[in-house]
Amino acid sequence: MPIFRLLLGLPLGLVLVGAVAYPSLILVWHAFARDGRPTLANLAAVLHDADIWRVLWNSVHVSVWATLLGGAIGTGLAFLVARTDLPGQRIFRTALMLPYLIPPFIAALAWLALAGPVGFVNQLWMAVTGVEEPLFRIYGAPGIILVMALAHYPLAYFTVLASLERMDPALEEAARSSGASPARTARDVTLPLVAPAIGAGAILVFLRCMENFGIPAILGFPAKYFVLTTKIYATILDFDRAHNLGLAATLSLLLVAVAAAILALQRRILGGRAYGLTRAVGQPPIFSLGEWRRTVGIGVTVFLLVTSVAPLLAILLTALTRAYGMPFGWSNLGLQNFHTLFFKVPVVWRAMGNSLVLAASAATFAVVLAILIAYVQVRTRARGKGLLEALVILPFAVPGTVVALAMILAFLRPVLGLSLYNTIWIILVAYVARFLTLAVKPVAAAFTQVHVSLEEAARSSGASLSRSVRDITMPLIRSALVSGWFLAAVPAITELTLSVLLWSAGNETIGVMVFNMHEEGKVLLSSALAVVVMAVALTSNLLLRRLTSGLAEA
Amino acid sequence: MPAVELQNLWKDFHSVPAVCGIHLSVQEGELLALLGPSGCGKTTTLRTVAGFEVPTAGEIRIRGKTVSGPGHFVPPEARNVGMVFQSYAVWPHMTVEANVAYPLKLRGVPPAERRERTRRVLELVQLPGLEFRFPHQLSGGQQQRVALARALNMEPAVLLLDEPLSNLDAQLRKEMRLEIKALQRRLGITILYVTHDQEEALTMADRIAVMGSGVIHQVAPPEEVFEEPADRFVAEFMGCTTFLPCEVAGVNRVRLLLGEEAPTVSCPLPSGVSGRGVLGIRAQEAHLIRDGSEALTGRVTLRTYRGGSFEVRVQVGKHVIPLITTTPLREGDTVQFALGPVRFFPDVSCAIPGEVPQATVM
Repeated sequence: MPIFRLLLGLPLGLVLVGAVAYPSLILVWHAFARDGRPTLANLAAVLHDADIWRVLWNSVHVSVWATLLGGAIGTGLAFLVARTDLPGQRIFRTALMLPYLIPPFIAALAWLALAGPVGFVNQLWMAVTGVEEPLFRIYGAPGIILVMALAHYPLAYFTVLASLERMDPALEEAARSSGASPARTARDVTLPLVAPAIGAGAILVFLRCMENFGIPAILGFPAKYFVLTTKIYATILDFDRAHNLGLAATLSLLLVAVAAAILALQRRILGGRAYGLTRAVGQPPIFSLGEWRRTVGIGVTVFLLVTSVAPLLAILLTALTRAYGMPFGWSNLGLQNFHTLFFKVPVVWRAMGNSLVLAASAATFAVVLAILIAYVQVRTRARGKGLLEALVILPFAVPGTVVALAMILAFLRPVLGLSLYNTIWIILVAYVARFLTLAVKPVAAAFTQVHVSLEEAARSSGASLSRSVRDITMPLIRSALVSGWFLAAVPAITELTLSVLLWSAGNETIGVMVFNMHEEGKVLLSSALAVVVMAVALTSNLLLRRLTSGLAEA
Repeated sequence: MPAVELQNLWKDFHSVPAVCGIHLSVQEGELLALLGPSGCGKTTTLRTVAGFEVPTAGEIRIRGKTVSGPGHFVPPEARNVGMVFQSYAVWPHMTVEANVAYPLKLRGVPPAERRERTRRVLELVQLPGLEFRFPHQLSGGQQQRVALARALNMEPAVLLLDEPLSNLDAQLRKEMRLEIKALQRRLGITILYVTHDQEEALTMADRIAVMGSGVIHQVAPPEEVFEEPADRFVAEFMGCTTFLPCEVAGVNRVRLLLGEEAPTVSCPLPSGVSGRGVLGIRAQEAHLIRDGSEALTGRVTLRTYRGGSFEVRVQVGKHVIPLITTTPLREGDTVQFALGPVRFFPDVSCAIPGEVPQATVM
């Protein structure tokens, strides 16, 4: 069926080559070329720059500390939730997802509202003590580490929790029967068995910290504290510097190399130690907290109130403040900022429209491609399936800043007569490439579950190929398509890292709006818009969750 | 003194009863099989003995010592009860030796003795030389033996086995039955064995406790449970596939009610029984006869070959009776046959416990 193959292969090839392979190669080329000739000048310039080494150190420094802190918090909470009689389990299970649902740059803004130089805590501290010095300095490494750890610990929490819940309870019961106390069981059996999950969770946190742009941008720029992602951003925008894009490309490869090295290290360490703990039947043994039960419960509650609720409350209050810098009080609260935002700043509506349209169209493209990709992966014996998979994962596996730079380099000049740069299309291409893998996962899973014999039964009943796909396959994978669409659309709505480098006048996204307003020092307006973004992120995520959990039950 | 004693043991899950006031004692050196369909409460019973479930009411004594009773609960690690799990629960991060030696390590046995005892017990379960393998390098059957060795190594007061053979293939299962039985004889250990497989229970157990819906229907040696099931539930579990309506027609005689035909057959009856009931029949026990006073006549409706013999279905009136024979009958043949030993269950026991609507809890 050559036509069938062409129909399948052409759009796939076009997108994967145009949006992934070509930009990747261009990025590598620019890292090792100047003025169209191959050279190691960019590499030399980067390696001889003491500033770059400090930036690299900063990246590793904040990521390692945020990983240790976030990993410890996530692991500890997972143990408390899965293996102890912690009171209020059900509420905690939901509440611990909260930081995961809020875009990191919004979290950074919220922390700024709470603990920034003129945040509520410092204001209160200075008012109460009369001291001129703020209590916290949130700008710079400590603040970045703290906010990164608190934004990313859910990744460690989910990973360890899943491992604890998948573990066969009999493994721990066998230790108890052998004569081990609950504490001894935890030490000898539970902990060694979840160690690979703790490691995997920590790696996830580390990679997210390394690639994060929003937090170090918001909390690092004022202190002139740069990490790799923000340095790449600054280098791209440093138009006066010669070969700035080439240098940025070299930095990008450096960033990818660090991430890849960490992943390789994880494979080395954990390679032989991933236990197939997938036979959970019955209740795992519960470690009684005894007299500490109440104290621990209160501790977790306070932790959540301070780390999740307080920053959100702070940014909400900032958004509701009428005049910035005036003493806090009921008379200084109102909806004025929201009014200004929605009725005086026309760009806001445009940005929201752009974000929604971009997210919806990127998700639609992604789902259509996902069907083709899943079909090829699951149903055909086509050669190069490994390459296909790699191209799908690549734009999500590398930092967003790198993806954005690759897009700039690839589409700076018209390609095949199409000029994408400075248009909304370059953002769309970037989004499709970046979020494609999110849509592919559920669709490929659905294809795997819909056994080919179901289609074959339709064929032998007399249905044509297209008829059997329409009558049998499509209805069975429809729910996966819907969840794939939402999985790709939800992160796209509040996206910042890509669009902050790819936007142009008239083509702002809502994330870019918040970021720019913040950079321009419009604290009240950026807070108000951040609250809007937060509301959008929370509702869309809850919608997604309801949708996907409903599908899991069906 | 019994090794294990359960007195009026109750266990509710969210106020749904799983075990309803059972009494049971396991003698020292005995292999007692707790047999029943899934959801009958047998695993729950076992887990209360192990200490993984806290009974709602009742008392559990191990070697005379109360481990669970009103206001009193001994945690699993202090009961010295060895357990072999259905999933084996061999720790994947430890070698075979570390797995098997773990109970000894906890009991402070010095390393040299630990190693020696572990070596011996591995020999006992026929796993010598695999000390330094990891579980993922072992087959399912070998993991099973590691789990058994680990439980034996602690010289438990009682060994609890929870469907230990259900994840093995048929051939290996048969081998392991004999092996566990031989081991139990040789070491004189006490075993409480949970299974839903009647053949397993019959071949291995010294006594069988048949359980259904949280109550024990019968506790007796295998032959007795098989030959003289206490009620219809036990009979069904012991392979009585067909139940025919009948009524008492005299001393040790019942009349079958099969539509137009109403032959009487002899059947052991408890004294003073009367009225209607059912007769339990096994296909293996029904047999063809040329003629006789108790012969039934019917027509063969289906014949299947089962290797060396045939199973035929014989239609008598509105009822179908299966029988196994080596005579190559054809479908449509009219045959005369006897039911063999039959068991009468009065109407009161017609309410099959297994059929009573119940929450299935394990």
